[in-house]
Amino acid sequence: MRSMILSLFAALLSGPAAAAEPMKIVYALPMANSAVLPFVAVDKGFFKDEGLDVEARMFSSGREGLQALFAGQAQLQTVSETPLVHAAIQGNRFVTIATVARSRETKLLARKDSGIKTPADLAGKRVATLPGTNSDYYMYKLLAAHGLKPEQLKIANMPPPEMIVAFSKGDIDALFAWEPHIHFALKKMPEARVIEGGDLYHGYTTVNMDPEFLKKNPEVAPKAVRALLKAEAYLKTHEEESRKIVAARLKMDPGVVDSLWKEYVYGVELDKGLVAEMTEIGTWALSLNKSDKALPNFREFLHESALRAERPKSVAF
Amino acid sequence: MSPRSEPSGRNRSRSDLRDWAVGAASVAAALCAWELLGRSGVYPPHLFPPPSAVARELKSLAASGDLLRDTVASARRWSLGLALGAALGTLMGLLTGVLLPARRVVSPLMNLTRAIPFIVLLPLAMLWFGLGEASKIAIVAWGVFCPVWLSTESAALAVEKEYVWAARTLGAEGWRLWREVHWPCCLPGVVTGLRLAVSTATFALAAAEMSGAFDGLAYRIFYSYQMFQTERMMAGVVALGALAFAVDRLFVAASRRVLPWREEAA
Amino acid sequence: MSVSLRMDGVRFSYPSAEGDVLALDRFDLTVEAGEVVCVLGPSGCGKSTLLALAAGLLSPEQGAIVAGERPVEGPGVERALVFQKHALFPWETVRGNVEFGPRVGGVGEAERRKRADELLSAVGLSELDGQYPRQLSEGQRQRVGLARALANEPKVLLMDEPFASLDALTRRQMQALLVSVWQARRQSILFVTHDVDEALALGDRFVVLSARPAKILLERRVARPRDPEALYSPETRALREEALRALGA
Repeated sequence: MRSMILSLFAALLSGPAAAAEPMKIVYALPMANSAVLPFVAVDKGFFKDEGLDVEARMFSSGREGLQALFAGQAQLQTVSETPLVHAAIQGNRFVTIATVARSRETKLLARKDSGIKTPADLAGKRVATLPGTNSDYYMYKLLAAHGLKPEQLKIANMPPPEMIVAFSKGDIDALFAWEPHIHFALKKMPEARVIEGGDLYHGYTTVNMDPEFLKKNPEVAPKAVRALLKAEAYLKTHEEESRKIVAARLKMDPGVVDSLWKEYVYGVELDKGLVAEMTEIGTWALSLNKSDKALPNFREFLHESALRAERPKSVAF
Repeated sequence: MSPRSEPSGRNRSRSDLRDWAVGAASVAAALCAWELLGRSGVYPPHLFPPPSAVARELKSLAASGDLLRDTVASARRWSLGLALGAALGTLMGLLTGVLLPARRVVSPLMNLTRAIPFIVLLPLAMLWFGLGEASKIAIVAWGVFCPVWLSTESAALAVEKEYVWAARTLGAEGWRLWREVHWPCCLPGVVTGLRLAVSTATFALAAAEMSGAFDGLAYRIFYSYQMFQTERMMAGVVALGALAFAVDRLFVAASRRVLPWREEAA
Repeated sequence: MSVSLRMDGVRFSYPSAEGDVLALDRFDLTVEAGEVVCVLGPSGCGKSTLLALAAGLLSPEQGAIVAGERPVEGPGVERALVFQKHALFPWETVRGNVEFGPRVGGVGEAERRKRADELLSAVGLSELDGQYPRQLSEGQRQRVGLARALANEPKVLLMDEPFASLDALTRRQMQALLVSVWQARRQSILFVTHDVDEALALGDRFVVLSARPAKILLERRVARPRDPEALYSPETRALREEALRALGA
């Protein structure tokens, strides 16, 4: 919470384009298993091989790191697509140079004694979510798919660590969150269960840059993409080492990393699925907030030339 | 002999008016500077919206009914927490201020715990009082309790011996002495502590609503932050500030009524 | 004449940074009913302690204090104390201060009002009964202090340099007021002062105390009537000389 306030201050004080030292690049990374390729690229020195002096800075969530990008404190940044959509609607500028993972890491977890067996059972239950995140979007999507209105639930906002406390105490019946929080919640309450929602939503893990910075330093995007592609290749041949890198980055038990490994599909790409997903989330966000803002054309936020030059087949429109 | 001359009603209201005008002018100037800065483009407007944009957002929040709902929710938590914290703080202050053994037992413990900022107590409060209103009210009450307690205690410790002597020679002893002398002597301390507590209560409320809430002004700010809605965030900040300011003014007016005998009740 | 207040062989000491300080030792003093006794002495000689003992706010280590026929074991409404710094309750109005004693003593509201009306009129403050002490002048506050002490209809008034902080003119007015109050009610008064002229103007008798531990160095009767001219008579002048000598001036 404090880092949130601090980064807000930073946003107000420093302005968006307080340019950093040339080629000294800060990469704002989330404490999330989805960022495996960036972790590997940083820790195996693939950025350095490309002539980029990348300093990885860890944020508790992609949402926080995104604020650092907007404040000009980071030039590269990784986050799932939902916060990007909210940011774009509100007029923030960024360019997405690639996605590095797809996942179904957002989940609905219910207490055993809550009587929730299917999403339809959520009516009248106490449910926690963190607004603006992809798991929040997943919640609304899941509710709609089962003909439920948000007003039929008692929804409380809180960050995932607090959700787990409230969940284990029985203050809430269910929670919407992402990995590794679901894993931790299950560890605390093994009898809780993940409620399957079907194939409703896939998250994208994106790599973004400040457009001003990119305009001044156009060579950074290809270099960054090359480094990520190297990480992708490394991952295929050195899965064990890659897992160790992630465990060290997230200060996480290697067993946890292993058990969450299969939740993600790792690969550097940019496809129209991302634009469609963002457009859908954007439409939802506008109606949720009764906003009169225009729906952005998310295609314009993509910077595909770098990836297209390196590996055309990974860019699909 | 005539009573000491008081500023006459007309003079007072004229100087009040002047103070008010100066205050209003400085607020207006700050708003103008903000608007100009917002429009100048030094900062992008989606990060630093001008007051006109914030006002528009406030209007839309009001029109949707969210503003009223949030204000009511916050005011409710705020006032219940304040009442609870003030009552307990006053009681504790009187106890430790009047009874030496109580002070010896309780004060070290309380001084230790009050050094802990209440924001870090938030998860604990959720653990103890659950997710609902109770934990939020408890956090506000805790934020209020400490200043009221300390201020009441120091007032209780400073009760002048002459008042006690005077009352005793006039026939007041025991409970009566306590009720007639100690209590009125402590009351200004209670009021001072409360005034301080009004702002700490707002602070505590903001912290409490950041988590586990689904309405309230601070919740709205937090929610808007998550959604990158800077204008709405600022609108929430303005509404919360206005609420705190209104409450403070109300409080000053009320304390003038409660303590008419004080030179400066404010 | 019956005895109103008597101190017999009183000893009292109070703690200080340099150990216990002996304020009074084997101290005797008697105030007859209706008599005004003024106590003169250097500052810090224990005059105020004397009053606190008589009021029952302090207890003697040795000796006895008797008020009327009863030993003093604590404060009592028949002995009222008037303070040098008035000690008015700032949270009470003028009337609230005057009615304080009767109110805590359970006197009915109507009777309380009547008493306060009389006393406020006697001290000339009927118009200001709704004011708070902070709104009054120092002289007015002392008037309220006197009225408050009288409201319990005490037999003994214990007065601790009540007029010391007033300007000379106001002090003269207050002395005259006290005399007229006393003439109407005839309480016993034990009046502590460091002003010889005040003692001569008010007292039937005065005593001069030594430095700590206080002993009576001089005790004299003052002739009546208390008329301002009498202050300049040869007899009074002789008494003044004597008192000042005893005080070491």
